[in-house]
Amino acid sequence: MDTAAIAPRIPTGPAMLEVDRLSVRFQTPEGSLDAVRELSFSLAKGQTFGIVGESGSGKSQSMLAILGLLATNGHATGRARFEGQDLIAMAPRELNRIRGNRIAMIFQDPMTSLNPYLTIERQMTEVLEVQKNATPRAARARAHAMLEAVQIADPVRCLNGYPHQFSGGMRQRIMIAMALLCEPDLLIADEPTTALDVTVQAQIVGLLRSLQRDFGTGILMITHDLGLVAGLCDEVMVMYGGRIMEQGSAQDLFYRPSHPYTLALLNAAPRLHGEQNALVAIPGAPPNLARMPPGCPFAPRCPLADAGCDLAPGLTGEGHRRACHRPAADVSLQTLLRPQ
Amino acid sequence: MSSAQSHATDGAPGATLLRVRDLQVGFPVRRGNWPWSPTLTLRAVNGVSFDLHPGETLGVVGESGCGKSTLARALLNLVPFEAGALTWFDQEMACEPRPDARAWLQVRRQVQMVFQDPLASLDPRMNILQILSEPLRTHEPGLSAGDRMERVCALLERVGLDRGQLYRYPHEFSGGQCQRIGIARALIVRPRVIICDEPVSALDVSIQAQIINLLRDLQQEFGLALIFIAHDLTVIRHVSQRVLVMYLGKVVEVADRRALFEHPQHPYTRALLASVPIPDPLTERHKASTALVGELPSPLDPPSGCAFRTRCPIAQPRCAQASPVLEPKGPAGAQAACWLA
Amino acid sequence: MHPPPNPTAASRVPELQTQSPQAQSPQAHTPPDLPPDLPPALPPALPRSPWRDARARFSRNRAATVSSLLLLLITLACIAGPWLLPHAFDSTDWDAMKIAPGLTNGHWWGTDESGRDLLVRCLMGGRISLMVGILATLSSVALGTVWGATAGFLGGITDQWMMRVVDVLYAVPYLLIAILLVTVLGRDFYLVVLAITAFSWMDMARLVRGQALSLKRMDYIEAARAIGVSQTRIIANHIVPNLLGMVVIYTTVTVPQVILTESVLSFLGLGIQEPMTSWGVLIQEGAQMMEVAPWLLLFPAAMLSTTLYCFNFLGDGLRDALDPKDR
Repeated sequence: MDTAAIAPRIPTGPAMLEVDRLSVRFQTPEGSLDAVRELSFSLAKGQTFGIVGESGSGKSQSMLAILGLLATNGHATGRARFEGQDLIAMAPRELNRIRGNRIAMIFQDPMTSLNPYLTIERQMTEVLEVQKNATPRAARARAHAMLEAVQIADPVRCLNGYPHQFSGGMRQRIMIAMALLCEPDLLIADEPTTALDVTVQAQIVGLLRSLQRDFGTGILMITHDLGLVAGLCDEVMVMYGGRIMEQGSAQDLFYRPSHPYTLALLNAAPRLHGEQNALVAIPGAPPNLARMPPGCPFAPRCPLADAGCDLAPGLTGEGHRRACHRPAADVSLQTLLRPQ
Repeated sequence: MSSAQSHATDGAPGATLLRVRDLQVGFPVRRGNWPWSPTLTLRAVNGVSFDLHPGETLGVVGESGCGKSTLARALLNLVPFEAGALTWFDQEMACEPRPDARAWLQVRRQVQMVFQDPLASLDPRMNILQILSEPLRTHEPGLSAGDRMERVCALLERVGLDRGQLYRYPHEFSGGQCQRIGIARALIVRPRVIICDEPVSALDVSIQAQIINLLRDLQQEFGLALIFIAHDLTVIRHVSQRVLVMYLGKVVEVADRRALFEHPQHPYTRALLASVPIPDPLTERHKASTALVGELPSPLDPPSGCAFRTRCPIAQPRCAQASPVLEPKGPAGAQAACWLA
Repeated sequence: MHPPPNPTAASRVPELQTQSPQAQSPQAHTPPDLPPDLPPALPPALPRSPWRDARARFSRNRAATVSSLLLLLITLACIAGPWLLPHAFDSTDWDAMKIAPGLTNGHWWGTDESGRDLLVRCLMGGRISLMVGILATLSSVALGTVWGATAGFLGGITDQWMMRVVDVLYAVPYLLIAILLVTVLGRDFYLVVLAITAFSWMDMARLVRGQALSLKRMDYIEAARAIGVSQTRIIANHIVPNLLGMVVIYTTVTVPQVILTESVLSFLGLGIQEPMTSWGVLIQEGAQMMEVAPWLLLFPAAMLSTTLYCFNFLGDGLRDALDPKDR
């Protein structure tokens, strides 16, 4: 086994992004709603980090909070330090200098992320003109080079075209090219391949991998797809109901899961190989963020829940962290299927 | 025809619920805005043939633009088909301009459908009782209100909801619960076949598992035949006994589940299987990059010959000349449409 | 595809919607894939029909609720007022001509050049204006909705022909037709209603047709077809109830238009005949006496504008309340 290929990339240097007790609260007519609670993690330069969760887990909202893109009725508390500066407390003007420039984000639906009325060239050069004060000529040349880097066959035709003329896969490549124009230190990808076919997804994932190798960009990948995370990310975090359930290296999480939710998720997904028994379904429904139980958000659906789950579980452990008061030894497939 | 004896179309007449031969579904697309602009036909389904046997689950898998959803709708005449033969329960359904309403009504009593978007497929202004009563009113108008209520309640509980929720509205339920309601609605007239059009694609993984398990249980209990359409191969693997793989309106491979997943014959099937991300870091990182190059060709202007040749890793000049037909290939009785496999 | 309709997937900076409280169900037998026993935390709430939600949202809209109360007040005043007040609307009093409004002289809003009390005349005029408004609106809404829903749902050639009829009627200058009708057939109350209906139904037809066209593509309509429901039943049970929201909104917006049209016709001398009066007639008379007795113009105009504003706020409130995005 080629250990070099599988060993997790050792984080080099100090943490690039340090999130400390980030919480996001929304005010709605029906009361307040905590989308994210006490999120803490750190990301080193050049590392790939995956955040896995289902709907209501808070994974997207936490990223929007970091970049200051929350809806008007949302409020973020806590700290998100990017290279020493706290993004949450930053003024919009300074945040603008970082967004698009040092931190870039790509979203799920490239059609709504691209302006349908502007040519691709216009949209790409705009970023460069705003952030780097580039001349139109230089900006166009750079955009061309970037489109080539994302393996688009005919960059000139692409630059002169409009978003609706391209397929979903092409548009997502264009988005990636736009995101990387200013050579950001961090790329946040929010479900970038969910709306794409699986063959196109494989192309995009391969692209992200090679770009990361070539440019050394850190990638923060938000997804619900465990397979995607397994292939791309060194460090993985599992979220549920706004809290972290488990965090560790990809190998820790996939081979030695120690949280009931992670284990249940791994076994609920149908597989391409192996047995075809009935899937281990997680009973219940995704959490209603307006009426969260006190303590662990997963308790209502957890086969291992007991009285101790009424208290909010803290994150324990070094490197491989988990938020469950039941000991790790208790968490196995047998106990999941036949709870004591 | 050459595939008359083939695996896909086995079975004594009378045992087969559905027989589809060379089905063609097209949509007119006008290029340009003038009344005299040329009208092209978008061939969504371009010559599909298969059979459906009682009690089996036939999986139909393919990516966007392959025509699987259009196929599902054509089977129920939600979109008209232009050519080919469609035979439900040994009765040939006509494809003339005017479909036979009465014949289709009888077919619809035996064949129901579950849709992809659970919430959108339920009328937001009707409560659950009304939604579930509608099929009964349509197909069994003689039923008394009390009987209707009994059947609705019984089925609601069978799919895992509570009869106290009869008077609630769709938006008060989660996605998984809405899909359960959709399944109940499909089951209430006791059909023999249910066509599931991507029933779990819009659901979270944990809920997906619940619904898949539910469908499997119900199929066993009621002896249903299912046509299960999905883009996710792992889900298809869990529910189907036979699998149809479609690309750009044609069937490129038909096989038993085991044969398809263990010995795929067609290059597209192989590429699909290789593209599925596996939640196992070691395997996933060691996978050689077998990603398909290129994009899906436009269905308005498909490539000559084999539609897959523009992206096929083993394409030859021969592939541009004629479109391959389904032929038995490989050891396990699979059929694939490829000149080279 | 995956995932379920998540607010952040649809638009980047949305209002995060709360998930509706799910009715949890205690189960006696629990197959492993079904919701486990959960103690009901709260007593089961009433089913939240879309109409109830809309009512709640409507009552939060201050402008809309105030407007509806005001409209109610005006309507009641117009109905009951003339009976309660001492003067009759057509009793002339040659001793009390053109008296300015005052609280002490028995004519709170003054009198006109024939000594008729203005307040009573305004209220009587209100009766007529509101009646014309409501009747004409109801008939144009009924006609327009049926026409539009059928055209939109059936589509194809039928739709084309039905909408061409509407287009042709749009081209007809309504004022000329009104003049023609009135000259030939006289100024009967119901004729005025008919004339106004004939020009107002087309807007509703167009709107409803557009809505029906988009509703036709909805999944639940396709599901109804897959079940085997007949086309008439689909229009009646699925299309129309889902159109009602928009129809209600547009109705409240049509009423002021109709009242205004009637006022215009009356102003031109084509509307209601003496001795009946309407706001339009009063405004016309008031305009002539504007320099000498300005109150004769001000009061009826104020009543008309207040009513129109109230209807518009009401319509806005209804539109916001019934907006399906806000589910």
